[in-house]
Amino acid sequence: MSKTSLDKSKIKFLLLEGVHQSAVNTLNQQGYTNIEYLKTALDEDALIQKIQDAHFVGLRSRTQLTRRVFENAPKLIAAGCFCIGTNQVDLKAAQEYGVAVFNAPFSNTRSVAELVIAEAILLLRNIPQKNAVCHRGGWDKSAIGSYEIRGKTLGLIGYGSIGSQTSVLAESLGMKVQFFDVVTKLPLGNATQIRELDDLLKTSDIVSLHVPETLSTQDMISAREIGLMKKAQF
Amino acid sequence: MDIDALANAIKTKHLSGAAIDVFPEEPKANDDEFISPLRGLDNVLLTPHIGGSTMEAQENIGVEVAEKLIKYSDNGTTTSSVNFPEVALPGHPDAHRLLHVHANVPGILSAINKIFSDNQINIASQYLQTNDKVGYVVVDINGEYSETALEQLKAISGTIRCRVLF
Repeated sequence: MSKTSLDKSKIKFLLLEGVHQSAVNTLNQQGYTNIEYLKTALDEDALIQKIQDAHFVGLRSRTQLTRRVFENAPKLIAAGCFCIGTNQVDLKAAQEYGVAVFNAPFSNTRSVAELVIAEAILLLRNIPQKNAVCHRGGWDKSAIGSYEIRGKTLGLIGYGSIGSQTSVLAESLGMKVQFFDVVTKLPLGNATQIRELDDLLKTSDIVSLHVPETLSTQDMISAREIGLMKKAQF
Repeated sequence: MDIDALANAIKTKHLSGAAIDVFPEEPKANDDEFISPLRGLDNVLLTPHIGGSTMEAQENIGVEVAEKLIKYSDNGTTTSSVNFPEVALPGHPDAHRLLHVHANVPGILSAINKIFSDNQINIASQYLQTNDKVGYVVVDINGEYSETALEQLKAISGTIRCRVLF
């Protein structure tokens, strides 16, 4: 009799915090049907009960995967964080117990890029201020200081997945796009890479920051850098 | 971003406005007060770290993470893991694949290889990747030997996890 690998129906997935149905569908399509799906997070003791026989656990940001959880999860081989951050997981303990941890760093790229463009338009029109004035009973109809986004220069700091997606959207609105990144990147569309951050700051109408939080990006933009930016035209 | 410097640039009208979604200090819970020098400045958009929070993104996240878990389960691939040595593996249609996770200390790889040579098992392909704490060895071999090999690999001192894929 030919041997088969552990039957997929015996591989147990514990999914917490109501992760999107798309996760369940994807697992089912690949033959994984042994899924315990909970809408809520579990506290440590309840999680330890549930995780005893799980090979995989899926969570969002409210479940804490502590060292004690890993100590009590003899079958666990991987944890999936259905979110961007992984602060809720003791990554070192996971490593020591041989549990690989995955997350989804790129899935929200488009959502962020759309909001960047929307907010850039609102700011160029002073909409937040005009909105606030209306709420206070004022009526500021002036066009002074309000501009179209078309033809303006967008300076992106960081040209990873979010920066480059924003670059594409901005060009479709007729913006000129330039970016600064610590590594050389192939520019999408007609974007241009600028070698010095200072040059980007001096020549952009709008600056948008899309860098990870690291020691080298800490206080990357302070009073000196802001001072280099173009002065607002009111 | 130096938030105080930004607030100052808005107040002095050097900058006409700003939109900030991520802050150096963010409330831990929905009930905690959000404190920032940018509060109260009219042409500043403040949002509670929701730049990527849409239903579409939630759906994409479901697929992205589920696929990574499936890939690790089916094939042993760990690409983009945040805490594990990253190994991108091809398929293994004619071989059994042994996955060995161990503490990253000297001598494990030679202990693993000794098992295969002592048992005269031919290795079709082998992959090793380590980080500071953990080593991950993947070995493809002829299927009839995998049970013997799995038992002996599990017995190596320093082994954390070991499984076989058929």
